[in-house]
Amino acid sequence: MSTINPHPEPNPPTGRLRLVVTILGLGWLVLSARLVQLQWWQQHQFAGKAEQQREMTEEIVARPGDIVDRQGRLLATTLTARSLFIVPAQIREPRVIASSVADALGLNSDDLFERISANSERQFLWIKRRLTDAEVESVKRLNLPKTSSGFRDEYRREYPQGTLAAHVIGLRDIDGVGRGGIEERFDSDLKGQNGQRHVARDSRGHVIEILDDNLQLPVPGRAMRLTLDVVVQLYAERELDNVMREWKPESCSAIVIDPTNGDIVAMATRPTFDPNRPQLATAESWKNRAIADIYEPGSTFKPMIVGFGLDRGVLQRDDIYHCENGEYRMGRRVLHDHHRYGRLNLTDVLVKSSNIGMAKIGERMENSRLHEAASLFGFGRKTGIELPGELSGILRPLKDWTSYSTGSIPMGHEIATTPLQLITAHAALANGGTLVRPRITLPDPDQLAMTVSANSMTTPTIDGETARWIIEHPMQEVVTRGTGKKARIPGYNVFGKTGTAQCLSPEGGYVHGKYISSFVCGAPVESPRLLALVVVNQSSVGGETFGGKVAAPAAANILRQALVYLRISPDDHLLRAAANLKDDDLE
Amino acid sequence: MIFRFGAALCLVVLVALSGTALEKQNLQLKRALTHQQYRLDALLDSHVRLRLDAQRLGTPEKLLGPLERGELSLQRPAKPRRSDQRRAPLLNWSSH
Repeated sequence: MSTINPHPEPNPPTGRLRLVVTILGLGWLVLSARLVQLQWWQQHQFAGKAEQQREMTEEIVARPGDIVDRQGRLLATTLTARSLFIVPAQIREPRVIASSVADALGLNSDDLFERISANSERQFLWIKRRLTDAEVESVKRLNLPKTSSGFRDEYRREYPQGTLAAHVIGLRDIDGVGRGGIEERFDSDLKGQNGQRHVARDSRGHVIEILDDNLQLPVPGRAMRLTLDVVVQLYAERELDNVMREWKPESCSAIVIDPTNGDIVAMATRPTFDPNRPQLATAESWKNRAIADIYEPGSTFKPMIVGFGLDRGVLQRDDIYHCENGEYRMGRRVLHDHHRYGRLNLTDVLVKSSNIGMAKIGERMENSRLHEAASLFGFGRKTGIELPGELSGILRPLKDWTSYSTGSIPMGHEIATTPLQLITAHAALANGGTLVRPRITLPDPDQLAMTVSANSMTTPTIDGETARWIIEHPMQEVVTRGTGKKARIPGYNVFGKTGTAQCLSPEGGYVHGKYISSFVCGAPVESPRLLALVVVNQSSVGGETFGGKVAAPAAANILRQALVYLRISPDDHLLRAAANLKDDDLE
Repeated sequence: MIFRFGAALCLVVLVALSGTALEKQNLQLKRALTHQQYRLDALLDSHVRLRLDAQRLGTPEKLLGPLERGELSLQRPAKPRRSDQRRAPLLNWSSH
């Protein structure tokens, strides 16, 4: 008898069903394993990728600091400027874009098209950086698609004084790196410290949030205050322009220094360049010849030798030298003077700039003392001014000196100096015998007056009384009755020294008929406030271009204008005497 | 039971709403801060531009020649060209 089971046993799963369940189970298992892999094992990797796509670190460029002169006049500043970029990979019609953008920016259309085509796969390409406001407006009018072009803000350096003091200031290149002058020397101080910020972007790359968890604000660059005075600088540059017009030299330079503290009040060089348009500069115009040109100082070196000789007791103020009527045999060579002088006292040897007189002084001092004198006044080593590219000049070791040197060195030959070294040595005579390190930057931004800085480096050279005698007698008489008569300034007692030296040839020896004319002068004699030096390299007008003829008028003009500008009172007696002299001349 | 559940729900909603309000306020403050930062940058840039223009107009190179030729006077004019009190235009912006 068969019974009906009310709860029939379920049919055992068939093989097909088992297979489906197994596959589904395995599928779930694989998915679970993948989930574990993604959420556990590779969590950091994918989270990092997502963050990278969403977040971005932007550099916030620091604004470079200004450069001002000692009165706070702006020499260099920084503006925000827009730079145009494109995304070549997004551009469908490069020819059309190149043509319209080139028209708006004054670029060559074909060149731009070639650049875009050559970089067609790239996601970023600069078209032109640091546009002017007019250029930005022109580009905006083109309505370029935002997906394939855009602007970025950058900083543009501006030099409102144009070519004025271009060699001292230097410039910032397209990447904001200082090149030459103060811009290079104080690049790290001036450019400041860039900051950083994290931003979140949407899927199209637009910034949607600035995440301030890692914000690093930029530190703006430090402002620099120079010792230069733009007005005195302008006087110096105008005089150099006149020299270039009148004497057509290869180059010339001028320096004005405050002898009491070594402040460089003006430093100019020709040829020059405009830092706002560096692309127009010639190769010769980059060099700051006041610190990077070396030449034989010639007679401008003589006062230092005499001062040292007097200080060490080798020479006496009332010494008399026989100048052999213009011809003197010294060993195997014969020395000549420009005029036939007989007996000259020590003052007149300098006033008339007698080479034979100086050679006899050299014989008395001997090579060791001559070398010591040159070294003591800073020749043969850098002055230490805060400018790049300064040369140390040439002062050969004493062991390399010969009997020729005994005659050559006292007249300023066989050594080479930069204009800055020379005026620094003269500043030591003017300030009473202290060699001060020249400086171009003021340490304290509030320091406006020309006062002696406590931290300026100084070295004693010769006794103050001897230095004063050199200034008040031989060097003043150079201007009143000697080779520097063209440097007389009505109302002021001026001292100075002329120098004319043959040009050194790169192959050795001298270049025939090529001279370097120089003149250094200062005033007032009673208490020297300023010194001016003008060096003219290879004038191509006239024959032997003496320093007293070529450089002295320019140096005196710079000095006169600077003295008036700085309100250094003239001597009333001297002014009246000068006026009387003028009246007599008119009559 | 229903009352307790409703109270709990209200509490949760209130906490959520307060959190949202705080977050919104926070975002507003952040936006205002960014705006101020932007304004400061814009003002700084305007200041630099104006200063640059002023310096360019008064460079010794431009003024020295006319001064020396007597075309410009060093004396202050008795009657200034502008009688109205000059205001600093950049300080007149409003926050709305």
